[in-house]
Amino acid sequence: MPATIVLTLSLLLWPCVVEPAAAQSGGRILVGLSGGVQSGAPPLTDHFEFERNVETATVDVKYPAKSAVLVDGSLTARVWKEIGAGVAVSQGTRSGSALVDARIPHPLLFQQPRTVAGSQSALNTAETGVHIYLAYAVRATRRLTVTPFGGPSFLHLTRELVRDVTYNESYPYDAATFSSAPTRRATAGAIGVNAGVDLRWMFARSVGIGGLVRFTRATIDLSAGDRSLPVRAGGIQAGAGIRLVF
Amino acid sequence: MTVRDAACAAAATIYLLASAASTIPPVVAQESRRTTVVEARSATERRQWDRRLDGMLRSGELRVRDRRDDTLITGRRHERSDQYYRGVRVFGGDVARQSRNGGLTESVFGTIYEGIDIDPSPAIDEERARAAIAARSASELDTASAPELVVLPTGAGGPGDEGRYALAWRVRVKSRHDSRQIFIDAQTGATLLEFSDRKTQSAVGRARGVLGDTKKISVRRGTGQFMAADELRPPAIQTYDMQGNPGRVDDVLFGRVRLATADLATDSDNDWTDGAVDDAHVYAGYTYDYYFKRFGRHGLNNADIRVQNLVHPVRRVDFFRYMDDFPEYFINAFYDGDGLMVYGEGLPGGFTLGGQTWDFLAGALDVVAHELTHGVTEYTSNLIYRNESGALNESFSDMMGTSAEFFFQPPGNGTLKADYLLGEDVVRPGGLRSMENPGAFGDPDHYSKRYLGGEDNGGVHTNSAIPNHAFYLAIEGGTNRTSALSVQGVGGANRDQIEKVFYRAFTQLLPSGATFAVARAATIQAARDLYGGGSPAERAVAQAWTAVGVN
Repeated sequence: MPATIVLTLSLLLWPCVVEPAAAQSGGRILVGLSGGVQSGAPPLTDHFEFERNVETATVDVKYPAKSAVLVDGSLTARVWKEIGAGVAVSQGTRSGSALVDARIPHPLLFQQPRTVAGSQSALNTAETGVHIYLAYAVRATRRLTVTPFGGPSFLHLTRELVRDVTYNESYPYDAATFSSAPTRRATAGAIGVNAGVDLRWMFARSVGIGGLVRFTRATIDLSAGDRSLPVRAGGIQAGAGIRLVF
Repeated sequence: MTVRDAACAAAATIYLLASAASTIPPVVAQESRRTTVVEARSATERRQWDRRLDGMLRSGELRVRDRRDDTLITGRRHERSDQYYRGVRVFGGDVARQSRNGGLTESVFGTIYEGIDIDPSPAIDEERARAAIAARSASELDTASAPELVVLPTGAGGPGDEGRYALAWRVRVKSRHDSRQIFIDAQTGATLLEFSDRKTQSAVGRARGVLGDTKKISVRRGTGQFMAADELRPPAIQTYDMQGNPGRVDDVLFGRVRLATADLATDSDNDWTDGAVDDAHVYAGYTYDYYFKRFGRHGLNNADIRVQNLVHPVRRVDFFRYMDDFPEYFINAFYDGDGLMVYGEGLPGGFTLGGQTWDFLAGALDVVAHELTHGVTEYTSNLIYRNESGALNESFSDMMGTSAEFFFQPPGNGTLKADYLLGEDVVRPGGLRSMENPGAFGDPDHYSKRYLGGEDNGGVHTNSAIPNHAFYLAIEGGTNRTSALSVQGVGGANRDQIEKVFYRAFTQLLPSGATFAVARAATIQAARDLYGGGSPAERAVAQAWTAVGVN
């Protein structure tokens, strides 16, 4: 998957590599480094089935929403007057849980499923976004600049999904208890959009602080074994950090 | 810094990371980035692996677990080494190396886990791990195996999902029916992994009974076939297909030959279609389940004695050939002692006996439970099989056979329904006996009508109807047709009370030579023991015996 990111970056940045004069003619460069949070994606539900004891076992999984720790870096070039273009890379990571509710068929009797419920914790999710945008800088005061921006995003999601349920049972098998929910790591990416605003306050000629609010969204189809699970990636990202102007 | 410089620097960094991630070292057959499957396929690879493994042995990353000479090829030696991380064994990380006399490596296979970076000091000590297990399970710790601190690979193993590890206590627990390995997180105490360590080949299949009904069947998975050997229940329940060889059945019953694995009934696809085999096997399991769930009893001898079912002792097509010499193999089912059962084949199509057709005897749950209950009696009161004690012996089997039917089947009339008829699913129409109305089959419903002759060991299959009817009345209530006395039963919803009363009396209180009068006293005593003096159960039992003329 890193190769996909590299390829995307390379294609997007190709013009600046082959046309250095044009790229430099815009003037100043803004680099932003921020840390913050990303709002929790909508709660995700999953359902899958498998054969067990010559009947069908069903598993329902709920992944509650949870916010992520965000790291964001951006590079913006002023290309004409107050209009700039840039690329930002954000990464949000979080460790959440899954609530598992399964119906496991009885090994000796038909139509007497056992309910197996439990929670699997420490399920990691990592979302990387590459955001291309056009920005328009509005200088509010001599030190304060507000920059709305927007454009397409490429969101890449790695998420642990429950793929099975293990349980404990013993004769007479009328009940079973949850043991664990083995997971698989699914990764996929999709094109989406981003829009937001960056606020910076320069306390020195080249150094300042800033805040960022960005909304980004893409629907990613994660492959969960034999089925595809559509996941809404992105959300509201909010961060603050330093701003460097060259 | 320019746009071009910044962009190119970013792209190069990501390119470098991507390239590093996809680099595959030579020699190593890399299953993933973090798990190395060791498999040397050439002399060069063997030498390279030798160097690496020797280095790991010197550094302590590998420790030799076992060295022994090859017992089949002279001059060969085998060495097994376990992987360690900072002194802690890595679960599943090991290498097997075969060498010649001179030390030259002949083959090497194994798994090495890479990139382990965890703190090897447990926050939870061994005793707390033991306590955590003890608190969550009724199982017993395997005292022969102390908890072991290990590094546990925790990734699911799929692409991109490897390379995660946890420090864990590996604990073995044993219960009566299982042996499990449990891995407790040595930092948090959470359960990381648990699995059964018992080596079984159990399988659950689909079976079609004599009456065409579908049920689950617990069997053993063999090579290319499935065998009628129950691996899920505590006792061994095995069903043998005697393939219409009554002589061999006789040899088994008389101890001249022993049953072999090859005699087990088999099926190629685990979709079982031999109704006699299927029902004998499944219903024997149901009977075990009934006794366990209702009374907490572990099989016929309460110690999970093996149950062996013999089916197809003859073939219906051999009716004329064998009926005279082996009639019991057609129209009977019997318990032969020590957990051995024989189920009759029934009669060929078009043949009737007493106006009734006879299907495979194994096809009726009440028949199977009836016969197996003779085993329970054998190991408990051992009621002498003649006169009143013999009738009590038969009656107790009828009671438990009917009770098993009510436990697993819905009440109603017709096949596969619970009722107070005996054998009605396979001896059609009507069955063999009625507990509700014994007179319908010419059997006595009152002590005054008891059979006093010498046939059938003093009428054990006839006079059993008297306590049978008492059992029925104690549950359902009603009026005895002979005495006209009414009984207030406990009701079908409370049938378990009467079942427990009679079970307690017949398995724990009765002597082997019990009479009906003793059975009355014992069941009343059992009702008092279980539900108290004056309880509805005691009243129902006392009224029922009185109604059938047993005082």
